[in-house]
Amino acid sequence: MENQLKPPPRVVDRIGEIPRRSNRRGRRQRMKPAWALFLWIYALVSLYPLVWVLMQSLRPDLDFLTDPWSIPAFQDLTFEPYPSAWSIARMADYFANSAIVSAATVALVLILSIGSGYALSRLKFKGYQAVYVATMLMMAVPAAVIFLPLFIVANDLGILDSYLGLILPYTTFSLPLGVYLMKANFDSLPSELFEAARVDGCSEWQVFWKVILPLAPGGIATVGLLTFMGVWDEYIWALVSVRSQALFTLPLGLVTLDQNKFQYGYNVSFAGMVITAMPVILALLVSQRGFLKAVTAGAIKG
Amino acid sequence: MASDIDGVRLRVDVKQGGSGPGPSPRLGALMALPALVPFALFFLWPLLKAARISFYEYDGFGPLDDWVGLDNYVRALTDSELWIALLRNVFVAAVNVVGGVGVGLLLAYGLFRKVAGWRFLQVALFIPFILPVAVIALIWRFIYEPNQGLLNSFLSSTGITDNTILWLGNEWLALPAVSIVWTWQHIPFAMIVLLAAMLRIPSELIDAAQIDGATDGQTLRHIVLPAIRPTAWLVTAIIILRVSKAFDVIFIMTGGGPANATTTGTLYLYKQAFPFSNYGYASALGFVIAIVLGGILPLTIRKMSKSNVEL
Repeated sequence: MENQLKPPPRVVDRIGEIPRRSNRRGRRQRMKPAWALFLWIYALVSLYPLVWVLMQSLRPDLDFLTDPWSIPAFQDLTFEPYPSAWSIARMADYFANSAIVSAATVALVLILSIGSGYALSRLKFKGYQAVYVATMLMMAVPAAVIFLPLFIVANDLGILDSYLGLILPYTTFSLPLGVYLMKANFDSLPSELFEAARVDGCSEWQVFWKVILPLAPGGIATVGLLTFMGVWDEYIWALVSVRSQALFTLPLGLVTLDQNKFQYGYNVSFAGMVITAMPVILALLVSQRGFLKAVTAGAIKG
Repeated sequence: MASDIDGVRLRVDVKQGGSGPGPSPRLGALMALPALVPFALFFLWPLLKAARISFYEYDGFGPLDDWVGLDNYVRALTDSELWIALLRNVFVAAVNVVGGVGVGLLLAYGLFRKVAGWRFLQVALFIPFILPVAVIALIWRFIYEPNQGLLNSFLSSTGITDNTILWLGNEWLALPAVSIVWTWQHIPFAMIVLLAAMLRIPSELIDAAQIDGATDGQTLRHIVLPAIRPTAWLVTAIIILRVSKAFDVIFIMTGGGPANATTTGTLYLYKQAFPFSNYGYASALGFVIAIVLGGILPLTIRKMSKSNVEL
């Protein structure tokens, strides 16, 4: 069993990895400047809206309305719109809601994915094929198809317009990806490790806890990050299932704020956008390599 | 607890010839079972319910009593609105694939060959892909705004045109406008994945070409492109799938308007369900769309398995 050759990793499986570059620059010529120009111009055009929003979110409102295009002088910048967005426009509430729902969903998904991923990977049991197929099936069905019946079911269960009504469906739909990634993670560990642990007298449970789990943080981080992003981001189901404004998640709240921007001011609306985008951007900045790898792997498998 | 080898071996003989000493099927079932609960409750049950409802005419109130049999399905198959909506899907997918892979490829090549500042660019250019959908939709809605939006202000201040162009309000412009937004998101995605593929090319190939005097363009066309072809197909397939399934961005930006000009397949489904409460029809639609999309899946999977080629 240990001798059977594993098939070479397919392109599909390896795609999330971004190989480290060698430091050797050596014989490679520099590219013609036209390329650099192209990339930088694209960066300018493509990122300008974001920078612009950031700038505008830091201006007092009057300035914006009189001259939306001008680049504000540094001394004109103010954090004023942010407290407005935070308390008056209730972004704080929305942020808290999103945080609660995300945290709970991530926790649930991690627990369930690790368990199932491990079971599917190493503890073959009767009918595990069926379970695997079932999770893959979930990925094939577009979410929109499910929203309607999900709404009815959630209504029957009485969890509409509540945290649970968000957490449970979000968990369900993040599971396939989570299970798949954790399973792949466990698959990639060498069998010898398991055998050695068992031979050393560990019970199955101990094998899991003491030996394998400590090796999984990479996969756990990936699943956690992807789940978080998916939930933080989600708009449609939140729109459908939440009625009371107090319960709005960030995307919902942001759209509401935007609809009222004439009341609060454009700059407050922009500040809201920055607040909503912040966690994800921070995650990117903290670990660029890991983040890139996680997101691309997730997008591909999803 | 079988903590000695003999005991384990015995157990293996007795059980259904598992996969060698050790793995305990019972623990496996125990660990996997909890995940089945949300699956059954929030996926299987709704799915079955939807199947049932699709045979009725139902608006959400009262009992399920208006049996119409296959009418909803027939209606779905003959509904021109639906097929036009799916055509819109094709258009959006085409724009996304061509733009996303096309531009992404060029960007990836530049990063691969390490243009000045590539470390910064690699991260900065990726940002559009990870932004929350609501933020993207709102920002672009603002860009496209006729009177104060960035785009029109830019156009008029540089003198290109003075008209107030209704980007999202014009029936013909709306869909392309929305497609561009989505493409803006997919370009970084394609860029990173293609970059990763390029980095897997053995460097000897590139170096040899450079020594032989190949220009950047030649290296790209003859060495890099063939090497990353499987990955390029993969990215194409993924973009198509993403575009077919989702509609968040479009929904927030235009709600499907103006006059349905941006209503893609799944958005059409949503509108039947929620504003119109045609639950029965919507359910049938859901299955029809799922089957159509399911037809796409085998095609893409076939393309993907062709990409089993190792570099």
